[in-house]
Amino acid sequence: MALPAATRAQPREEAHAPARVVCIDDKTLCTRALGGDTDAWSALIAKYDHRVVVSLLARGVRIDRAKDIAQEAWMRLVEQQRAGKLTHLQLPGLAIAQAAFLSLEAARRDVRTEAMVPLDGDGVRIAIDLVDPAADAEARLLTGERIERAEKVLAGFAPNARAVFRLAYGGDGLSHAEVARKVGLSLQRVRQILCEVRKELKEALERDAP
Amino acid sequence: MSNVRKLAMHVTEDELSLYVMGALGAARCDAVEAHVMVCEACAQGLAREAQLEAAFGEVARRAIAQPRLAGASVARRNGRFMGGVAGALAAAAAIVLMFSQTSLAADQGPSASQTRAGSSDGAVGDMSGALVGEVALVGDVRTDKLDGG
Repeated sequence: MALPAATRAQPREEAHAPARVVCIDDKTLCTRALGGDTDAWSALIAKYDHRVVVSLLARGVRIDRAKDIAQEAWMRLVEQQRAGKLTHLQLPGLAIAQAAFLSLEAARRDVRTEAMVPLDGDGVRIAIDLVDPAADAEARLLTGERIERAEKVLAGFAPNARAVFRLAYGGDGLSHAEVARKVGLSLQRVRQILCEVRKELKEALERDAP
Repeated sequence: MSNVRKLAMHVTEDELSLYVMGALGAARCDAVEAHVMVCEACAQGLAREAQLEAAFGEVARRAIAQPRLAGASVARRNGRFMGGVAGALAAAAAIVLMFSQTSLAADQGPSASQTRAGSSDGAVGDMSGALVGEVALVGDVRTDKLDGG
């Protein structure tokens, strides 16, 4: 099946969306993509593919496989749209969920394949419960205590820095360039702020309770 | 580049962070991807950074949800505080008025003292406004980190 051009993982800011749609807001892009506009799909994929790949990396998927699964996830979404099965398009959430589903499906396939290999001459087969490797690690980082600690650290930053962090990570799917435009800072300054905030929050999230 | 050479040059933590943030240049991005394919330690570091991205999302969502709550509680606190201040000032004004009434009553009569009392109430209101401004200013100064600009 022919896919929109930008289906390979690219860094968010380096991604090249088609010039015609680069300045259009997400809502319009999603509406156009739902209507079958290939350029709109390409722009959305260019913008969000890296996040989908990163979400797979967080699940312990290898980088090459993560890229393949992300591409497959986009392809499924485009297929669903073409089949008239896609009525809403909320990104990057929908693509991330699709990719997570595909990675679990692939992991199940791998387990089944392993399960078919006899361990000894008597034909004893291994039985493995499928465990999502990302679940434990994420659960550990997302304990209430750690999140509260990170929130306190974030509260110690200046309003500007907090605003940049909230815009970049708050779920609106803004790229760093969009955040920079919104807060009236340079892209370089936005990234500098994000790196500094990120560093301190990371320390707070990873520190074990005393 | 041989696998041995790729393994020798581990990716720094900062670069892994920049990679997951999507802020790494294209060339360096390719180099990081090639390295994590052959280096288990860096691949784990990358997975760790990616998990942090998810955690940061949670922190940001909570930070977005909280200002409204925090704002409401500050308003309630300020309300209580201002109520106390207004009461104290009103009491002080009443004492001042008592003295002024006694001294002015002899010179200007009761109507003048009532006018003065009215203006004192106005002064209390103005001062309350000034204190609100002061509280807001203290709130801004407290956060001293990274005022971008």
